[in-house]
Amino acid sequence: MVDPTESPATGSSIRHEDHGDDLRTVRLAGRLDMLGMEPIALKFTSLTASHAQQVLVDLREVSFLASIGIRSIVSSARALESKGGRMALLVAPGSTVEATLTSTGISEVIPIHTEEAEALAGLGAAG
Amino acid sequence: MAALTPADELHIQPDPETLRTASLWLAERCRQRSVPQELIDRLDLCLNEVLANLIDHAGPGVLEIPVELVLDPGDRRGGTPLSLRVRDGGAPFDPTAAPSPTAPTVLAETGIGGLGLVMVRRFCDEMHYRRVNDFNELTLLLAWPQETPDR
Repeated sequence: MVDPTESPATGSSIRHEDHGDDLRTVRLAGRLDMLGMEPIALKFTSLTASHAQQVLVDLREVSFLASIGIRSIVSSARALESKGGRMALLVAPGSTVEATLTSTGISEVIPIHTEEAEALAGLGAAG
Repeated sequence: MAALTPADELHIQPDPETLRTASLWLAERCRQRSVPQELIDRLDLCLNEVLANLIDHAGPGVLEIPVELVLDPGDRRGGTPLSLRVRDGGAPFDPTAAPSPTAPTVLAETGIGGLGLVMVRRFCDEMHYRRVNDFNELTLLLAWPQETPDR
């Protein structure tokens, strides 16, 4: 299932794909600063933290990840974990987004991958 | 050491939309001076976090006072770093003295406060603060990459 939400005004977008009942990919794109997060934040929380599932958050098309975007990811990952689910992140290798997640220590608490198949296999095995 | 080219200035009243304006201004001015994209990305993140922090924590009326941004390319060959000075009329706040949050080790205990400051410290090479005439003045410095010697 694909259900895109795009905001041309802010240049950010969110869409998702379900792989069965318990495994979901949520793809974010664009500049995730204050303006970019505003139209997608609620949907991101709803898609990632509504029930126990394994969620891969694809950040490869994110051009800019501000702390407001990281806070949203961490909050959802915590809520998901409290319900018995788990989140992993997918980034472009060597990207500024990857450096941002590493520098803030988020990569220590939410697994980060650079290969989608590997990430999905890891989450699927955990589910 | 004096800059080889004049500094650029921008005055904005911070809100989510003018953060984008500031980012575009920064990128354009940096590209005019052939600043490497990696440095632009780092400075962009720092500027965004400094201004976002001001928007989140400024008291009533503070955001009506324009924030002054001054970009100085420094001197690439002379080793003077690229600098961005941010001057705001908010309550005194010295980010160089603010404690860093504890590095997260467990997701359930991972805090979401202070991330912006962590990012600024990570992505700029030096950060200097002073209080001048009821204004906060924060200067972010990024070193130019070393040039390969001509053969």
